[in-house]
Amino acid sequence: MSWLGVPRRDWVILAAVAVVVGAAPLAVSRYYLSILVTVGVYGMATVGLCLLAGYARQISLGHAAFYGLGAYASGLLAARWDWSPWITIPVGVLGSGLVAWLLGRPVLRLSGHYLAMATLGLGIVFQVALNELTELTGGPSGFSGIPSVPLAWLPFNSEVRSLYLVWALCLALLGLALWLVNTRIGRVLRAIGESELAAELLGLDTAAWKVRVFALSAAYAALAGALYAHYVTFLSPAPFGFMFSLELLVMATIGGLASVWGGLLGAGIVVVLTETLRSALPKSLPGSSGELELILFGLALVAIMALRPSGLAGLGRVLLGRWAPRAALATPTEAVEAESVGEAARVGS
Amino acid sequence: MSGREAGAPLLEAREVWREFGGVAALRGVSLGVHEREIVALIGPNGAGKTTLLNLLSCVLPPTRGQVLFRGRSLAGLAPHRAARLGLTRTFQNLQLFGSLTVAENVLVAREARGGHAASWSEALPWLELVGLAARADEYAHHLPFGQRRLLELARALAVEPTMLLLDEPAAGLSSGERAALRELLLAVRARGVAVLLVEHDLELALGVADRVVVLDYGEKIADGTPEQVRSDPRVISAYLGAAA
Repeated sequence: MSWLGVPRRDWVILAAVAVVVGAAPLAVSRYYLSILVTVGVYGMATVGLCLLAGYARQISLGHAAFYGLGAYASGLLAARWDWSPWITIPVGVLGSGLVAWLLGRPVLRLSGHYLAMATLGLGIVFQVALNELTELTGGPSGFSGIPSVPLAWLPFNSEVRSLYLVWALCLALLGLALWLVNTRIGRVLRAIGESELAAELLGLDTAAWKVRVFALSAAYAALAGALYAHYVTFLSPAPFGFMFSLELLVMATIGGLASVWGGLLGAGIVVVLTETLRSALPKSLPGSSGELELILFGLALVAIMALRPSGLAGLGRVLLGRWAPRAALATPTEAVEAESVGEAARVGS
Repeated sequence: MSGREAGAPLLEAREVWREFGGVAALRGVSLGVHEREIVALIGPNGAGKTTLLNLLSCVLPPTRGQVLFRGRSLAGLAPHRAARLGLTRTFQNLQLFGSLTVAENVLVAREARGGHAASWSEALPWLELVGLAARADEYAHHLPFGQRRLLELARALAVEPTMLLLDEPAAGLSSGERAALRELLLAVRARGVAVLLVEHDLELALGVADRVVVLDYGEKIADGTPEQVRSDPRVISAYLGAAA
C-alpha cells in the first residue's frame, strides 16, 4: 500500500494532479495557463514552508527573501553573465540554502521566536539591498533580459513549456517532501515541533535539525523564485517584500501547515481567489483596490485559525471520515484536495 | 543493598549554585547518585528541586559549581549530548509529542539513540514495560493523564539511559497507578538504571528510594536512608513537620 514509505493514495493524487496539469493546455486559454504556472511556483515555495512551519513549527517571516534571492541570483547570472539557466538555477538554489544555513546556525541554537525575528530582519535587509544596489540589481526599477529556461526542443509554445517545467519541478519537490515526512526525519521534525525540549533530552540535536529544515525550505523557496525569474524574464524588488512572506504563510496556513499537500492546496486557493477578486471586485465595488483583497485574506486567515487550525487539507480528512492515526499528520490528504487542486488547474472563473 | 555507595558516583553535583537575577535558587548543593541506586529528592515547594534537575540534565548551566557524569564534567554540553552519554529525564509538566502516536513517541527515542530508522515493532518492548502496548496506534494526546506519564517514562527508558531523572512522576496519578509506578521504578533499577526522583508523594519517595536527599530554600538539609531522613529534626521542622 505504499512506495518509498509514502502511502499509495498520495502517489495516486500526485499522478492525478500531474495528469490534470498535463492536460490543461488542451482545455484552457493562455491566461489560465499563466495562473496555473503561478500556482505551481507559489505551491513549491509553500510546500517548503510547510516543512519548516508545519512540521518543525519554526516561523519564517522572511521567506520572500529566499524566494527573491533565488530569483535575483539566477536572473542576474543569466542576464548579465550569460550563464545558462540550467546552471544559474541550481546556483541560486544552493546559494540561498547556504545563506539560510549560515543565518540559521546562530539563530536556531536558541528556541523561541528568534527565527521569526531574524528572518524578518533578513527580509528587510534584502529589500533595501535590492533597492540600493542599483549597479547590480537596477534598483527599484529592476532589470530585464532574463532568458527563459531553454526548452525549445519541447514541441510546445513557451507558456506550455513553462507550465510543464514549473509543475514537473513542483510535483517532484512535493514528492520529495512527501517522502521526507514519511521517513524518520518527518518524525523528528514533528517531535521538535511538539516539544523541542523533550526531543533534545532524548538525544536529538534539535538545533542542527532546525537548521537543516530551514535551509531546505529556503532552497524550495529559491527554486520557486528562480523559476519565476526565468518565466517573467523581468525582476524588480516589489514582489519580494514582507507582504509576500506573509502571503506565503497565509497560503500554507489556509491549505494546512501540518501537511505538505496543504502547501499546494493553499497556493491554489489563494492564487485563484486573488485572480477572481481582481477581475470581479472592480465591477461589483467600483473604486476598490488591492487593499480589499488583503482584508479578505486576513478574514480568511482568522476564520481558518478559529474554525479549522489544521487548514483545509485537514478538512478533507474529516469530510471523508477516514482517520488513519499512523499516517495522519504525514499524509492527511484526501480526494477532496485532489479535486481542489484539480479545480485550481481548471480554474473556470 | 549495601556497598552501593562505594566508588565514584555515576552522576554528581559539586557545590552547585544557581541564581536567577540575584535570587539564589540553589546554594552550593552537592549530591551523588551511584549506579543502580534510586535517590529521592524531596523538599517543600520552592526548595529548588526542579532547578537542580535542570542543572543535572544540562537544561540550565549552574552559576557556580560542577556537574559530573561518569566523572566527566558536563559544563557547556548541550542536553542532547548528555542524553547520548546515557543521561535523560522526564518533565513535571508532560512534554509528550501529542500529535504523534504512542508508538511513534517511543520510536523517536529509539531513533535518537540509534541515529537510524527504527521499525515500528521496536517500540513494543518499551510500551509493554509500562503496559501501553495495546494503545500503540493511538495519538499520545488521546491518552488519559496517568498513561501519558507512563508513556513519557517509556520514551525516556527507550533511549536506554544509565541515569534517569524523573520530575514528579507520580503527580496526578491514582493510588493504583502509584503502586504500579513503584513496581516500575524497581524494575527499572533492576535493569541497571540509576534513578533520581523528585517527588512530592513522600510515601512513594521514601518507600522506593535507597537514599533520600532533602532540599530546603536551595540548600541540602539532609542526605541519608529513608529511616534517617524520617527522623531528622531539621527535615521534620522544614518539611515533614509541616506536612504532618
